[in-house]
Amino acid sequence: MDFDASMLFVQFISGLSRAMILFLMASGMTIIFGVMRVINFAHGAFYMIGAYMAFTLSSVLTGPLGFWGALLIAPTIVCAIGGLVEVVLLRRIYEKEHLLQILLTYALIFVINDGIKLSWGGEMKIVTLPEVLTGYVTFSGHPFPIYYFFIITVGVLVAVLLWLLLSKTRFGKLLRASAEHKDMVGLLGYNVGGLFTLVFIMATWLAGLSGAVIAPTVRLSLGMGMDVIIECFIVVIVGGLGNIWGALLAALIAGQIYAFGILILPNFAMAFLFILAALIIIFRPYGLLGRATQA
Amino acid sequence: MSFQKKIKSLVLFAGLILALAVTITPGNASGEKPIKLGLIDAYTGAATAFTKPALNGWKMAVDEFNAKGGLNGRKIEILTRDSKFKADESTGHARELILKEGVDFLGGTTSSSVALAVSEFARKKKKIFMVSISRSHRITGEKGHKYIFRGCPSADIEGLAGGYYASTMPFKKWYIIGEDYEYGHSIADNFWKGLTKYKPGVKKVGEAWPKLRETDYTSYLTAMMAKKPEAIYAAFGASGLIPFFKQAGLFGLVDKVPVFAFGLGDSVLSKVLKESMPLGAYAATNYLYFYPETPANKAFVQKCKEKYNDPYPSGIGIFGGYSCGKFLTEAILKAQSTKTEKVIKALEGLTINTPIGPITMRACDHQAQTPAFWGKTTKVPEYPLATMKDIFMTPPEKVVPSCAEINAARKAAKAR
Repeated sequence: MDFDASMLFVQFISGLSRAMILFLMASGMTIIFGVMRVINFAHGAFYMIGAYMAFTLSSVLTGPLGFWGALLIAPTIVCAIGGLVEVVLLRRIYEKEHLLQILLTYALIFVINDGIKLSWGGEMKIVTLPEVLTGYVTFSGHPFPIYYFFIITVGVLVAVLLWLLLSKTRFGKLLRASAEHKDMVGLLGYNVGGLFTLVFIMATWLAGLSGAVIAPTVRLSLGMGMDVIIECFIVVIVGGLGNIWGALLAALIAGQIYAFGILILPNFAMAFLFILAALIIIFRPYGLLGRATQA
Repeated sequence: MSFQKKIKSLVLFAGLILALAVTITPGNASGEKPIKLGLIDAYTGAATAFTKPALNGWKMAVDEFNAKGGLNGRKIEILTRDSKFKADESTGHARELILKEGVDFLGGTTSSSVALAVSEFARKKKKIFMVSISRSHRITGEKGHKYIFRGCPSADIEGLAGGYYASTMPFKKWYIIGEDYEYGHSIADNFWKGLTKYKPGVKKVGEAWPKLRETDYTSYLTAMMAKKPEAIYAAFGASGLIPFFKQAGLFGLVDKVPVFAFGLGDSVLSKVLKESMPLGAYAATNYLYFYPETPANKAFVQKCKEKYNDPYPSGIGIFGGYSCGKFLTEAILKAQSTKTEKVIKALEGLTINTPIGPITMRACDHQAQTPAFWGKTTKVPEYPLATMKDIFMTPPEKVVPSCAEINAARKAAKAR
């Protein structure tokens, strides 16, 4: 096969767009672990709610508002549900053992699945793209859809905003401090419970956003959250549990491994990622950017 | 006893009473024992787009049978169980249906691995199992036995018909992309077998097997187009075709390279994909509501519209279910019995009249001999959904593997 530069570039972009979706998902999951020490298996379920909300909103809102309105409102609804879940359920299990936490977040998947079945039914649904984002650009003969550039833009924007939030705001400082030493933050007079609620709202907002962003490229179906959660979890582990920039780095690596794996050995594309995860677990169990002392 | 404990025991007690009430309710009070048909399929989740219409198809055939008085007054009663796409859960349901409900026949299944599991159970229990959606060629091929029948097409008939159709085209360099599971490999292998048989000299420039339920095909699509194939065969299950063609649409794939896909011609796909339905793709299915334009087909479409509010009936769904129901009910009438052995005898070689003409259940492998309809997807003013033009019907006798081939495959499988 002839490897020309533009083809490699297109493959790179495709890996980048996959990485950005993974990052949107994994960043939320890893923040929740970093601050709250809970592995939220239901993260994929929130992503699913985001996608279904985008479906309904983009068909209810008409005109130019449709898709864009959905993109803004869907994550907001998801994070409202997320906040409710934190206050009513998760709050009760922070001090309990990990097994119970896993049980609860895992059970949430079923509850949310059935909730979606009740509200939307089991049929497959698709979301239509707005006119401006359809079509593709061509790099010397190799087409690439405009929509994936949009996904990449969203990913970069979220990364920048997260960086500003974490390093430039008081909230970010508190957040990092709680990740280091929760009790000390509490002793200093800060409301740790409220902080946890905010963190969970933020993380579910990210999950909702990734669901809404991915919706126009997939079919919506029950259990779609489960399809992404494993890869997302691998990214979180490889990056280092609780480390946002680790998640970003791991997502970028995972995306490129996937894209170029397919180009070279299409039958083993998925295997490369699992091999990477296995190597990381063996040689660097705290992840790429995680610290050995943590947790 | 605390208040909470009281409530708990009350709830437990109420549950017990309810459970008892359910188990002792008599099934049929009219005296004549009904014939029981147990259907196991994925009645919840994404597959409902196919399983619900298939159930309607079964019901339509059963209603016709019951309306004519059944078997000397004995009518068929349908019991459904949700397989949730899980093989172990499905055999559990099969056991319950046979041992507790005492069903006379089993039917259903969308997933091929579920079909194989239930088939094995039916063989042990000596009950007829009629497959209505699952396509893997192994079900009636190497894993076939006396008690399994399939009233819908198998992947080898559909794959080989695709290869035959593609052989009439000038394309030489092919790329195959498929979902990495039983059906994907089954239809792709048979397509390639058919194509190379009827058009020696074709070349595979590449293939890729994304995992089942993959959500992002972008990297596959870019890598595939970089290989510059003259034509592409997409070996996806019907629900996998949806995200694949949505994303392929973003690349304008169909406008650049001819894409062939079985199942894409089914009305379920154009119903779900709507404006994202690719036009100009080579698509196929086992039944079309707009072709052939015979009175029988028009009457069937009318009935689907009136009874099930389904004006564009699908081949995978309602037609498949209807064919299965028709095979079973006609065989019961022919045998004048519901005894397994007698109905098997009646089913073997039985020809039923369907909206698209006669279909025969081959005696040697218990596989319905179904035609395949290929064509190019298009939009016509008469229908709101995308349809097909230049329809090419492949009769089953043109492509189907011979009885000798099936027997050889079964022997080889046993020797393994």
